[in-house]
Parts: sequence; C-alpha cells; structure tokens
Amino acid sequence: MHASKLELPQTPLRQPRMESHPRLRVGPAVAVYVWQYPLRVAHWGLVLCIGILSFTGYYIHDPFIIGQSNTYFLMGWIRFVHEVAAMLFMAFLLIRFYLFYGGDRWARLGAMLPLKRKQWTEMWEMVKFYFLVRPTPVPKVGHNAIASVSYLGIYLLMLVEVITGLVMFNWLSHGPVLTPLVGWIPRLFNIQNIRLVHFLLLFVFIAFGIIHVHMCLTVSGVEKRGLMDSIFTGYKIIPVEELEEDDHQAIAASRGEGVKK
Amino acid sequence: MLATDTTLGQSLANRGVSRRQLVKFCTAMLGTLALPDRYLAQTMAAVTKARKPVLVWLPFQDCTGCSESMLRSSHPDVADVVLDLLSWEYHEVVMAGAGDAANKVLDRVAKEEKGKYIVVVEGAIPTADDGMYCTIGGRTALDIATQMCSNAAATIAVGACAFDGGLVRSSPNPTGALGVHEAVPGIKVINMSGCPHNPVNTAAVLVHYLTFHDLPDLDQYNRPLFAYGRIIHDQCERRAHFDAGRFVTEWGDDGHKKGWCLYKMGCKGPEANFNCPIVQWNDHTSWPIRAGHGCIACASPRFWDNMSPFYDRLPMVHGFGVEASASHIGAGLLGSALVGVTIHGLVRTIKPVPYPVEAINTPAPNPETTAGKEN
Repeated sequence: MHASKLELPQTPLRQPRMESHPRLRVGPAVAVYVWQYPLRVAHWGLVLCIGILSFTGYYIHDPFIIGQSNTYFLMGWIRFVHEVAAMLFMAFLLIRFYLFYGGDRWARLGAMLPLKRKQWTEMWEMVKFYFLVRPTPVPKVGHNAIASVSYLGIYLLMLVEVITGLVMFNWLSHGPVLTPLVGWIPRLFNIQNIRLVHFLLLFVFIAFGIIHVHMCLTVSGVEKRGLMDSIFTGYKIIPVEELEEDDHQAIAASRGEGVKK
Repeated sequence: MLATDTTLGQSLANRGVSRRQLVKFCTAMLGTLALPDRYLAQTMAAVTKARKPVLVWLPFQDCTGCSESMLRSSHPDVADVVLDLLSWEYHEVVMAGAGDAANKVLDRVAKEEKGKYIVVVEGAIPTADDGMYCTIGGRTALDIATQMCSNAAATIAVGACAFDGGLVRSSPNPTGALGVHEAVPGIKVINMSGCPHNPVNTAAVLVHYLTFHDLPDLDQYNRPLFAYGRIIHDQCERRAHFDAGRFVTEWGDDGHKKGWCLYKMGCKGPEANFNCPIVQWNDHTSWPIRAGHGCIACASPRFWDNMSPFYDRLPMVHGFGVEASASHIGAGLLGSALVGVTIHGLVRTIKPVPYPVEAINTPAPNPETTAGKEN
C-alpha cells in the first residue's frame, strides 16, 4: 500500500503550513481485521454492563436517594436493573470465553497465556515502555504480552464477580439450577465475605478501566497505527513486514513447531 | 423410676388443660411446621396418646437464656403443653433434685431409655485442655455429652452456642469451645440456632417428632427447613420500605420514627435465615426489627465473628494497619489509579519520548525520492 505520489506545492507560502502538520512514514502497510465483530460486541457489551452494574451495585450497597415519596419501587427497580445487567454481562463474558477457543489467532487463549519465554521478555520490555524507559512499545498485531496477562486477570476477576453474584442471587431465589452449582459456596466462605469481595471488585474493574483506556491511548498515540480505532472498526494498520512475521509465527504454531525466531 | 407411664393426654387433663387449648396449640404448631390442617387430627392423636418420651436438658457453656426462653413463655397454656409433652428428667435450672442423686438420673436415663430418649443441649462444649473449662460433678461437658448424646434417639442443640459454639467460640475462643455436632461427631442432631432459640420452633420439632417419629427436613446446617428455610429479608414487615428506598440513616431520625428499613444501619436481614418475622417472640408480641433494631443474624453460623460489625453492611478489611471499610479501600484504589494515569500522562506530555523515526515533522516525502531509506 504505497502512498500515491503526492504533488507537493512548491510555493514558499505553502511550505510552513505543510511543516506544521507532522507526518510519519510507516512504509508499506495493510489494514488487518484483527478484532472480529463478536469480540468487539463482547468488549462493548462488557463496558456497558460494567457501567450499569457499577452504578446500580454501588447504589445497592449504599442507597443514597432516601425517602422519595413518588418512587414506590426505587430500590426494587435498581436491583432489577442490576440483575438483568448481570445476566447480560454473563452472556457477553461467555462470548469472550468462547472466543478463547473459537476466535481468531489474536483472541485465542494460546496467544494470551504467558507460557513462552519470549512473552516474558516482551512483558519486561513493555514495563520499560510504560515506565518511560523504552521509547516505543513492542510492535504487535494483537495484544502485547502485558496487556494479554492483565486482560486474563480481569476475566478471572469477572468470573469471581459472576460467581459471588450468583451466590447472592441464589441466596434469595434458591433456584433448582443454581443451588447445585453455587449453593455449596456459602458453606465454605462466609456470605459477608462473599459480599465484600463482590463489592471490592467493583473498584478494581473501574480502576482497570481507567488504566486500560490510558494505556491504550498512550500506545495508540506512540504507534499511530489505529489501535484506538480498531476496537470500533476491527482494523489495525500493520506494516507488511510485521504481518508476514506474524503469519509465519501463526503457521509455525499451528504446525506445533513452536515459535521460530 | 422414671415417670414415663402416663400418656400426655392424661397428664394434660390432670393439669386442667382443656381440649380447646390443646387444639389451639396443635394448630399453632402445624402453622409453624408449614403443614396443612388435615394433619391436625393426627397431631392431636399423637400428642394426647403419646407415651411421654424422656427428655434430658444438658446446659454446658451457656447463659441459661435458652432455658429462660423456653420456660418464660408469657402464654401459660403453651408453656404447660410444651413442658408436658415430654417427661423432663433432668434440667439443672428447674429440677428439684440436686447433687449426687441428680447426676445419677443421667446414668439411669442412658441405661434404661437407651435409644429412646431425647437430649437437648444448651451451650457450647469446651475441648481445650481436656475440656476442663466446664465440668459438672467432676465430669467434663464433653464426657457427659458423649455419653448422653450417643445413646439418645435424637439430640436437639438449642441456641447459637450448642449449634456452633456461639459467643463462647467467637474469636479468640480461649476454651476451644465447639458446637454439639462438632464436639460429638456421628450423632443424630438437629440444630435450633439463634440467640436464643425460638421456643415455638423447638416445640414444633418436638411435636413433629411425636407425630411422625422422625425429625423434620433439615438444611445443610442440620437446621429444620420450616424455621430456617427462608431469609428474614423476604418475610420482613419493613420490606416495602426497602423496595421503595425508604431507609433509616441515623438512629432516631425521621425515618427511624416512621419505621423505615434498617438496611443502611447494618441490618443483616438479607443475610440471615430464620422465621423470626413470622413466629416472633414472647407469644407473637414483637421481634427485633419491629422494635427498631436491625437483625444481627443470630441464627447464622458463627454470627459473632461473621456478621460483625452489626451496624455496618460489610465486614471491615484487615491488613491495612488499621481496619478499613470497603468503601475507603475502593476510593483509595480509584484515587491511586487516577493519580497514576494523570502523572504518567503529564510526564509523557512534558517530556515526550522522541519517536525514533526521522520522518517526524518533515513534509510528506515523495516515495520516489526516498525509496530505500525506510527504517
């Protein structure tokens, strides 16, 4: 994808205006469909649900609207919205978990689990980037190693949130499906501690969201290859050489030959 | 000789309890057990014709509150019926006998009524230092409980202490106190947790035993489902205030005077399983939440440790030097994240790391003239 030949205006008046618009050469590059639509649906679904669940969840913990005489079922509605949003949240999380096995090669669990030495060195390089030691992030088509690990950690915590939530849901409803699944948990862990974990994780998710957006903005700003755009459109601009290397690694991995370097 | 020959019907008639009073009592018991009224005839027959089973009441590490709760029923008919349902051979608080004679009753019951009598245990059983923290007549509580419970038809553990150790077992538990089913494993035990137990529920269990010769259905903590199958929150008379968002925010505030929901004052109604709002106390006079105090989940396992602080929704979190509330930790976490990304962003803005590509800030190059100079 070579840039088409540009006819630069040669008049002296135009020249300073051109210089005030910085341009960065990336060489030949292609737009790669990295994030499939189910992944983006799951991502934005989770974002929406976490937003709703955080507000309603905090309200349930500490109902701060007191004694409104015209809302006869305020707490009831908030709890209802919380429970419905939680069901949606589980559905979106299930989509994401399915993509660990059924997704493309950048969404699969194998690409995200840090089982190879190379991923750990990449993680260290990314730590250096985040602490302003290294000027550029490690170029990756999919997630970088530290992002992968943090997302896996957050998915694990989401699972904890789902399970603790289901325990509390079943505490009230005693469903025939849920009771065999989670009914044994309050016997091992005191129900108050289950509530505490469920509440504390709310803050972990919001803190993660803040850091996640900031880091994506930072990396996107340095790389300038459409990282932020990719979560909306699915496409990232990847240099041809890097994509070829990624293809080789994917082919090698699919043949079980390990990653060649 | 143990007084077990008279039937309950005879002894009730001797005490002047009318049939009408007995029908009322049996109906109340059926209601508590959530049984349909067609069982009334069966229950009446069982209660009047039953040869009174022997009952021994063993108080160990207790406050006698459960005995008080059982005996000081403000409704004398019910108390009479409850007390006359069984032949109470041993109960330290109320029995006339004392000393060696009283202690020998236990041995005689264990021998003569083996496998037929009922034991009620009140209070926790200490196990530390060979159980020396509770001895009666030179025998440890553990020794007495092992002898009496393992020979009994069934054991009823009344109150939080007999259920799981209760107050005595709460941290740091210097006496190594345990509930009956932990201290004496392998016995048939039914737990009537609560601080104190509700005598209506305990009477209902006894009536159930007399009628069906079996214990009622139990939950995972061996508590009868009819009394512990539902959470307080779902049966609470202030539930409508909860759903509407009308909460007490301070003791004695306007909402408190109006009888609003005590959720924000740390009421553990949503956590606690009990039929407190239905059977209530002192013959259906009142119960804690009606009296304006939140539930402390006294019927829940290890409630002193697990449900405190009683006036906050969530437990405090240890390990931060001092105890911290969950909200403070959450606010600290969010604040740290915000401060962190702000500093990171500011440093990047003030001191940007130069991107190692020379093409920055140069006019868009002509591909033909710059071919071969790519990085």
